[in-house]
Amino acid sequence: MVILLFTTFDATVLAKTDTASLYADAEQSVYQIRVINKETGKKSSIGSGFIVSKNNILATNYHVVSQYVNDPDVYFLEYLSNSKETGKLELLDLDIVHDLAVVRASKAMGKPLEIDVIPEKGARLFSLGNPLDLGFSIVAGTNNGILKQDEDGNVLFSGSLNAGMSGGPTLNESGKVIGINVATAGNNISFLVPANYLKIILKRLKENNFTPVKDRFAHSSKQLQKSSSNILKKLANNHWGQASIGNFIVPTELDKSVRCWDTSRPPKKEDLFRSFYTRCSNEDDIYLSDQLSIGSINYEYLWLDSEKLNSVRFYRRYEKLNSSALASHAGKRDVTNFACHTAFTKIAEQNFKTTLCRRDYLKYKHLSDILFTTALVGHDKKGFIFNMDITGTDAKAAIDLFQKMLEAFKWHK
Amino acid sequence: MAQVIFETIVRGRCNYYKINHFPTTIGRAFDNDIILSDPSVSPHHLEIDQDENGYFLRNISEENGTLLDQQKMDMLVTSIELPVSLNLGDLKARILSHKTSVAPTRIKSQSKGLFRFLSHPIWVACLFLLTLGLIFFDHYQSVWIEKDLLFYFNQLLPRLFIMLGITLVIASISRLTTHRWEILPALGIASLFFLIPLMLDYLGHFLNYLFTSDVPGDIFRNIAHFLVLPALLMFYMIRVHLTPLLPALGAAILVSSPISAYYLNDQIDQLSTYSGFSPLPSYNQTLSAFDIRIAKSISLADYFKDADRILSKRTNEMLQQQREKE
Repeated sequence: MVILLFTTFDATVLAKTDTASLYADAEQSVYQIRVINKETGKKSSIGSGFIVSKNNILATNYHVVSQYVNDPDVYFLEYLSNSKETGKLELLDLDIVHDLAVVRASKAMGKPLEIDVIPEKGARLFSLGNPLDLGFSIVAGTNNGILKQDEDGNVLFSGSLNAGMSGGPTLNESGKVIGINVATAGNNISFLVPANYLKIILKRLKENNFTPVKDRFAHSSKQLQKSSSNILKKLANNHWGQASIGNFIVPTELDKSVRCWDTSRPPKKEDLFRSFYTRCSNEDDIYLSDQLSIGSINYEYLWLDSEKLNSVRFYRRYEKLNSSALASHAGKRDVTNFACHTAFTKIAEQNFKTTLCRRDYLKYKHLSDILFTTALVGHDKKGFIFNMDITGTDAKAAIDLFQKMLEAFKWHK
Repeated sequence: MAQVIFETIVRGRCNYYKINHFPTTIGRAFDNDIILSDPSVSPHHLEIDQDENGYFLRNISEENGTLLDQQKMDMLVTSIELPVSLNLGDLKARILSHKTSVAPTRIKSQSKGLFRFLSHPIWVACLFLLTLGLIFFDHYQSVWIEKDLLFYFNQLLPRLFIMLGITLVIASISRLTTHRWEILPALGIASLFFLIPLMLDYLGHFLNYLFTSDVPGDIFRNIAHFLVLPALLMFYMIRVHLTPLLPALGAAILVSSPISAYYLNDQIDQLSTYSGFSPLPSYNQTLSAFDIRIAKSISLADYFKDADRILSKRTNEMLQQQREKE
């Protein structure tokens, strides 16, 4: 513990001169972004933002301005400068998938920061923002590379980001933006959105002469649907991990981003049956609002067998386990009810009772939550259940993935 | 000589007095021809007389008086045509001709011996044991860890007590109304009260799996909640108390109404959940060891094709409804 603290302190001292000059240069380009309630005039959420591309254009995170996006009648957007000057902001464009938003001020705000590519792993980085509304700060840290193996992941930043710094820029040693502060997991584990996604939005805006996006939800739906389809297609074409559970061999890790855990409950002496659980999750989500995030992919396998229970008694237990629900906070403002279809199907030459359920998002068109569940039938004292759910996805892409996974099931005696 | 029948109705039971001579006096005093004990009747209340033109009534009660066909009588002689209905104070009465025909005889259950379903001791014993057996079996099936036999018997006891309690209540009511202890039919009814819902539950589950649908189970559950108790009470009243159908139906509905109201409340809650938003998917989750079903297994490709088509249509409809609401 002592060593850790000393190391951090040492690093800060070494970086002192660099940091001071960087801060002086960038200070005038970083603002606090606030969501203000029209009725009370008080701020409801705060984050950071920075000038980019043009002297009145600011970039921030989508989640900083999400309250305004979801309820534009209740809130408005405002900036607060270092010199405590405030003014209204207009939303131009957003990339909900990568948690980015671009806003415009009514006057010139300062010098735009330039965008650069992500430096090599280990390079020193500097994050700017307004942590916990305490005043503008600069945090030094290290680039620890892109989180996932593909180009879609966030950058792992070993520095201490705090609430309120969201949307602020992270600069390389030459003072150019390489990422946007987005999240922290505590203990110096923080995440940045690579700045090249911002570049894509800015390019689009420039082509449109900085016209604001008209239907924000339709615009976001398209992005989300495309992103989800791409992820699921990629998963479907990956080489999957395999595991044996009971008499089945099933796919486990569909991707490096998917993690599987054994969650079997420890057997007890008085148990009359055996059960095994494996749960997998992509441990990922896309923030839509305080209550709502999508993009999760969860699936689980359950094997149940018994030598001591008679088959009627066994099926009583088995049936109790045959229920699937979605861990989501989506409410009636967000989604329709589930529609389900149940039938008996052949999977790996065995009979299964299979159900597919779907509900659609009300505001985000063509986006659905899909829930799939199937239970082995026709075996006296053997039970097997596969549950899988994907939130905020393209229904067709989800169904294709389910089918491909089920076709990979194998039965062995 | 023409005869007249004076009928009094006390708590649903009728008493008849044959009037052979006229005038006849009616009242609470012991010097009357017909002596009534009802405290609202005057000592000398009413006189009945006849001449060649017919019958007459004379109200002589100054206290509570007499209603003739719901009209208050004065103290004058009133000519009547049989039959008439009277209220002597609180007492209901009728005056009938002796030629009035009586209701047909209610025939007791024809079946004899073993087929006297609710009365024969062997039937009732079988029913009682079958019920206990099924409750025991049901408990046993729903426990999946090693337990002593005593544990299952222990679970049986509360139900057994309730069953005997119901028997006692029914039998006591019979004792009060018919002056007979009807312990065996009461025990039979109490057994059926537990047995029928349990069997409907099993049957519903079987059919749910058979048809891959929750509808049969829902229907049977509603039958168990709303129809079993009134039907059993009605059956009991008709068979044991020989009550006519309609009064038995009315009494059965009245007695079971608190329980029906409880389930109705539940049902309304459920209906409002169905029509409102639910975060839970509702699908047929039944699994059966016997795997008896009408639907054949289909290929995955066919299944997903059907499911995609059906679900797209249904979610679209829901989105449409939502848009119309807004």
